Parts: sequence; structure tokens; C-alpha cells
Amino acid sequence: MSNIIRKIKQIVYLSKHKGNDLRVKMMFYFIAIALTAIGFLIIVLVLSGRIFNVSAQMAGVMQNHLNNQAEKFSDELTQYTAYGIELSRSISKTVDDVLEEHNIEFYQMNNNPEVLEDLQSRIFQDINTVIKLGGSSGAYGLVDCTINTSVLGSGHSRAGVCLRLANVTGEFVLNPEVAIYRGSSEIARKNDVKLHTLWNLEFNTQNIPGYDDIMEKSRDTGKDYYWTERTVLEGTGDSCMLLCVPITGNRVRPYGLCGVDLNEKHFNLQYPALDTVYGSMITVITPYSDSQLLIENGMTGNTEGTWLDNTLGLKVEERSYYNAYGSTKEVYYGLSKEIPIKTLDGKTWMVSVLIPREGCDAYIRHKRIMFTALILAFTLAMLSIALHLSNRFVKPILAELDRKEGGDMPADLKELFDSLMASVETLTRAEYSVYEKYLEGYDIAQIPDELMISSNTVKKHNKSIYKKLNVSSFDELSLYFDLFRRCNRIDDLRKK
Amino acid sequence: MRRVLAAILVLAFTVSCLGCGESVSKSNPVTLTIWHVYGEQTASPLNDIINEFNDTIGQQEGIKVQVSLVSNTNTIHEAVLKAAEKEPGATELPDLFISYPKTVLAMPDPDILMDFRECFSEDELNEYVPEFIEEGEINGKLLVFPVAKSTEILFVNNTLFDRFAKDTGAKIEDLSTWEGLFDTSVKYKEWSGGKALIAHDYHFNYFQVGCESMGEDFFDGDAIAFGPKFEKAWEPYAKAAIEGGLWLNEGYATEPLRTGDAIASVGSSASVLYYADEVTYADNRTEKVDITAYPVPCFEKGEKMVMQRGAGICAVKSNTEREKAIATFVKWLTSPEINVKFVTSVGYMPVTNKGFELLPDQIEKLDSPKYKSLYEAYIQTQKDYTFYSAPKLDNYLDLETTFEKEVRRLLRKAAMEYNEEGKEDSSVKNREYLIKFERDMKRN
Repeated sequence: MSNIIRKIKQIVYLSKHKGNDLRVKMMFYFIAIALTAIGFLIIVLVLSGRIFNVSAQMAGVMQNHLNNQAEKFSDELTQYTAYGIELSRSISKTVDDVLEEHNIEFYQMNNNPEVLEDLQSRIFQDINTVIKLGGSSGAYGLVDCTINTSVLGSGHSRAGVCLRLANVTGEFVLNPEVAIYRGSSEIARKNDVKLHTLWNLEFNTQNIPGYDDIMEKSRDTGKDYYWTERTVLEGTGDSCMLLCVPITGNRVRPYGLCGVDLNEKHFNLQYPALDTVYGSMITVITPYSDSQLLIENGMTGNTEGTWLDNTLGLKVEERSYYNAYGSTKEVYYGLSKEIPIKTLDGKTWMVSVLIPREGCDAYIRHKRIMFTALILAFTLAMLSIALHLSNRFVKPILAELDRKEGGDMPADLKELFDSLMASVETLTRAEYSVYEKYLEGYDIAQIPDELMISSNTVKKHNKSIYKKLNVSSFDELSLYFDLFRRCNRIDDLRKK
Repeated sequence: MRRVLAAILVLAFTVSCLGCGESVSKSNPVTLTIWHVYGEQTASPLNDIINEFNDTIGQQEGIKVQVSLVSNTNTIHEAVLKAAEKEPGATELPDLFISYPKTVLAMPDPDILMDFRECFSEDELNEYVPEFIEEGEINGKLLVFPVAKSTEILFVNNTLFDRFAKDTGAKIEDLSTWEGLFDTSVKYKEWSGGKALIAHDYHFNYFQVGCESMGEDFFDGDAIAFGPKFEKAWEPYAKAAIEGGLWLNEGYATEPLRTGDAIASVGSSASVLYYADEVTYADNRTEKVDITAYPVPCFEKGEKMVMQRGAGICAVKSNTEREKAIATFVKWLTSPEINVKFVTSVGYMPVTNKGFELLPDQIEKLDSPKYKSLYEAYIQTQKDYTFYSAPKLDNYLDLETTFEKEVRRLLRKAAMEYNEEGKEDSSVKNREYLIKFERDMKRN
């Protein structure tokens, strides 16, 4: 290791003290080495999931969409609940007016076609307004009375009006066509409204979840309302969430019930599938129980691009970035968020966004492989550039340095060095004392004073030294000294 | 060394290019949207058939058909035109929609629709009833592909009619001619204390087929001819209407049958889906009834003729993948076995020759007496009647809409006046309102 560091130091020294060309090459070499190291580091980070984490990115996209959808749904639900409560208050007033005008008690509306027709005729307008302004797929109001108590099933038959949009579309329609689903056919004709294909005169309260309960207990319009789970409307292919608001008035039991409905088509249009790079992201709004999204009791947005079966629940398995939601048919990745919905059974409701797992996995795999391969290829490219530069420029320099360092010098020079070193041994003591002064850097003129001898004696010793060492002059001798010094071998010229 | 270096650089470049690509092969199915008319406001049998496609062929081929709207041809007509004209606020056109040729003719650019000849071979097309294929050809292209065909049928609430017949001696055979039916309707009105006997869904078709069956052209160019045979058809019809035997309110004929305000109706065979098996009266009493189908009445001196009905399917042009998916679905839906199963669940007739061969066996499997009687009436109609197809006029829909609205409005007014005046004979009013109607229609 210390050897490598020493070599790097030498290369740095060379690059500092040599020409520009070598410096640029050395710089490239170091950059290549650095980038290779970075490349390997990135690969390690990617493989360990510390950086470029597609799952985290996907979870971010899901979270954004989930927040938007949850906010939108909460707003929508609040708006429809407000319409329902206002409708309840309006119908309550209408009932009071009708009772007063006809001078009867509430229970006397039973078996009273004339009064009930009058009442239906009036609440028809309120319900029609709600459905047209509110944009729900239907709106209704019923009173706790029936037109004929003697018919079979009259205990569950209640008079009122239910209007439904003839077509739930995404079109902007100022005056949408409505059909009367429950209510007097005469009122429909007077108001130029078609009978719904599955029209009936009165409501069957057995098909309204919680009806008996709310009629027994409810006292406050603004507090005792609730939303039902997805319910199939009697005889139709339409399933919807029903808002039930008690119509309270001047008696202990409520006058009846009213509200709006939001059918699946409505959700389909309001919550379209979002086309993402991971696949189609859909929205579902469902009750949640026992780690399961009860899709069959909730609402689904547009399921375009997926095979979601809205009759099967989805088991939720929590994971680090997002959850896995599985049915017997398909698995989805997604996120859920709790939303406050007032329901009869008090179940938790969730808004969830889901993407088919297959598409997500394929995307994550694809991106991870591509990125790793890209970085790997880049790292390998940098490594090979570094190797190339090393072979081409650095290696010869280091070889030369090694040679100088290890005495691996040319043969003739080595011979000269050896011969000179051997010759030094032949010098007499007196000659060596003069020679040693030269070796220490003294000049000829300084020797007599240093050694307390005459100039002639110095000359005589010089002559003998030159002869024995086979040099022609003091300058030549100095040159050899310099050469040995540069090679860090000056001490070799001393006597052993 | 240089070669190794070059290879690594090429690899790095290739991988970079692949990494930059956005596209990832998706496991998502191709989702086709459809607007259809089979089962408006009810649990649509076509939706069940579509679910079957999605669970079988769709799963295999990666195609999912999604129903966006179940309505009627008029609603779809309006929605298609709004979408085609890119009207602000209009919904986007679906991939598939059910429509009559009149809708395609009214579109600003029918070229946005697929020519089914491009995805069906000649041999495949030869499997279909030629008249049905011909009906969907517009400007030499097959733009409306037949999926189910219907005709007009007379539906009678036999439970209530039998009660009336027992008291008055009326017979069901009396309803086999228009003259007999309208005459009976007046008797029924007297017997029932003011209720109508018959509701007709398509007054326009009554006159159109009536004139043609008596050998006279109903149309004169793109207008109504109002020839002598029109008067011949008008006289018994208007008499029944003015005297209260004919239902004149707006809405489908199924409505008064549901409330007991009428006991017979003429409408599309497809309306069988909407007839309830019970009547609910104004006091909330209900009564189980038998609804039976019969061939539509004809004129005593006219040919037995009936309107050929049944819209077809149109497809909006798209990329090759989607068009291939569309062709797969339409071929599956009209394949004889599936088609027969589909049409008999909605009161229609199949569109292939092989489908007609399979029809008797499928009828045997039907549980509902109402549906059985419908197909018996249909087979009887096929045997005895000539099918009439409406001409492809640009203004056909306008004429039809105006006619329906005006004739009902004027006759309601005439009926009210007749009641107020208390006269026995309605013939003067009958004549008066024919003139008014003719004048109004010509003015429009």
C-alpha cells in the first residue's frame, strides 16, 4: 500500500514538474479512476435501494392522487349531505303546510289519496330541483303514510316521490331528463316526466337499509342522517349509495325520510382511471373491515385498463412503500386513506387508489435493470479508459522510476560506476584525504589550507588520483560526483 | 485493448438509449367503451353478455368492453351528434355505439367511423342476412353493423282483455286489423269508464307502413305525401283517439299498461323487456297479469306489412390495436350461438342465417310465457308479413319527431274538445283535425 501511495506521489510530482501534455493525461487518468469509483458506489446504493428507488417514486405518485381523490370525495359527500338536509327541512315544511291546509293530523294522510297526491305534487318540485342542481343520480322523499292500508304489504309501503336521472352521462345538460321511479303516475304526466321502466306507486321500506331504526330513534335532521353501503335498487341493474335524512317535524316520530343517491355510473364518471407509467390507477371508495376492502359494498371509479371485479373484496397486506391488495383474481398495489362517512354500522371507510401489480412490477424491474446496467456500463467504460491511460502513459513512467530506484541502470554506466568505486579503494591514505575533501564539495584551491599542505603536494596527489581513477581533470571528477549524487549513491564513492 | 474499449463504449451507449425510453409494456387490457340500448333502466341482459366476453375471450385477448351508457336510440343519437360536432360540454364518443343509419347520416363527418368491410372478409359477411347488411351501408361503406333486429309487435294484457271480452263479446281476433282494433278500442273505453285500449309507440310508423301496405308512397321526396291512403289510415285512428280509445300521452306504451290505463300496445318487439307482469292501480292494489304478443294489425284491404327495426353497431376509427379489438368483440357478439342467446334475452332476432337455424331450439329453452309468445308472434310475422325498411332520408328523424309530437298534441286537443262538446259523432272533428295536422306538418 505504501508502495502504491509512494508511486502516486511520484506521478503527482512528475505531473507537476513535467510538461502540459503529461499533466492533461494524468488528469484524465485521475478523473477516470474517480468516476469508476463513483460508478461502483452508485451501483451499490441502487442495489441496496438507497437511491433511485422506483417503489418510493411510485408511492409518491399514489399518495398525491390518493390525497386528491379523498379530498374530492369528502367535498362531494358534504355537498350531497347538505342538499339532503335542506331537502328534509323543505319537505318538513311542506308536510306542515299540507296538514294545515287540509286541517288533518299526520296519521290521517293514510288512505287519503287526495292529500297524498297534493303532498307528492309539492315535494316533486323540491326533489326535481335537488336532482337538477345537485347532479346526483337520483333524489327522493317519502312520508310515513300509505295510500291504502288494506293492501297486502302496506306495512312496508310508503308514499312519496323518487326521481332518477334517465341517463347518467358526463355531458353538461342544463335540464336533464328525469324519470319518476316512485310516486303517482298522474304527477308524472302533469309534469311531463316519464315513468321509470321499473316504476311503482310507493316505496317498499324493506329495501331501505335502516328505515325502521331511523323512524324509531331519529329526532334531529342535521345529526341522524346516514349513508348506506352500495345497494341494488329494486329491480334495476343500478346500484347506488343512498343518503337517508330523517324528515323531522311536529311529532315524535319523523315525518319520513329523504335524500339523494349516487349510483355507480356517477362514480365512474367522477373518478376516471388515471393512466400512469405504472399502469391504470383506479379509485375505489369502500368500507374496510378485517384487513379487507369490501369492494362489493363500496363504489368503484372507472376501472378502465384493469380487470377489477367489483363483486370481490380485496385483502390488504401492508408493505414498506405501498400496500398490496389481493383478490382471488388479481393483485393491486396501492394506498388507502380513511375518510369520515356517517353510516349505519359505523364501519371505517377508505378511499384507495390501486394499480395492477403486474404492470408495476414490470415497470420497477425494467427501470432497475436499465439503470443498473447503465451505471455498470458507464463504470466499466471509465475503468477501461483508466486502464488504457495507465497502460499507455503511467506504466512506462513508473517502470522508469522503478528502474532508477532499483539500480537497474544501463550496463556500461554500471561498469563505470563499479570501476570508479573499485579505483577509490586503491588510493593511499594521503590521496584519499584529498579525494574525500573533493567528495565533500571542496575546490582544489581550498585543499592546502584545509589539510595544511603545500599546493605542490596537492598537485602531486591530484595527478595520482586522476591516474588511479582514470579521469582526465577535476571537472570530470566533479561530473562523476554529481552523477553519483543524483543517483543517491554518492556514499558508494567512499572507502569501505 | 482498443477493441475491448470500443465494445464497452457501444454497450454503454446502447444501454443508455434503452434506459431513456419511456415505454414499458403494459399488462393493461385494451378497454373499449360502448353506448347501447338493450335494457334501459333495467338489469341489462347485454351487460351480462359483455361480462361473459370480458371473462372469456376478453381475458385471453386482453380486451375489456366497458358499458358507459345504456339508454335509447334517441338519447344516443343526440349524444353522438354533440360529440361528433365537438360541442363544448359534450361527452367524448365511445369506441362503439348502437345507432340507426339516420344518426350516421346526420353526423358531420361519417368518415370518423370504421368501415366494417375492412375487418370482415366476404365469406364472413355472407353468413349474415343480406338485407341487414345492406341496411347498414352508407355511401358504399358498411358503417352500421347488424347485431340484433326487431320488428313491431302487438302486446295485449290478456288478463284484462279477457275480462272485457267476457262482458262484451269482443274477441282477440278483432285486434288483427287496425279497423277492428280501433273499433274495439272505442267499445273498451265505454266499458272501462274512460280508459284507452291501445297505446302506440310509433304513430309515425303506423301511417308510414299503413300507406305503403295499401300501395301508396308515404313519402314524396323528403316530405310526407298526404295521399288518399293517408286519409284512409287517419280516419279509424283519429276516431279512436278523439273518442278516447287510443292513448295519446307522451312516453312509452309500456307506461299505461303498467298502470292499467291501457291494455294493449304496439311497439318494438324489444319492449318485451319492459312489460311488467303486474299492474299497479292508483290505489296501490296490484294484479298479476299475462302479457301476450301478437303480430301487428294490418288494414283490411292492405298487404300484411310491418316495420323492420333494430339499430346496428357503429365503431369509431382508432389505432390498429383498438380496431382489432373492436372487430374481435363484434364478431364474437354476432357469432350464431352467442347472438341467439343475446337476442332472445332482449326480444330481438338474430342477424346470421345460422342464428335463425338455432332460434327454435333457443325458444324452447325460454321459461317466460311472455317471451315464448313473442317469438311465436315473430315467427308468424316472418311467415305472413312483408318487412318494410324506412328510407334513408337526411331529415327522417326531424320528420318523425315533429310528426309524433304534433299528432299527439292535436288529437289530445281534439279529444278534449269532443268531450267538452258532448257530441255523439266525431267525424267532423276527425276531418277538421286531419286538415289541421296536414297544414301544420307542411308548415313545419
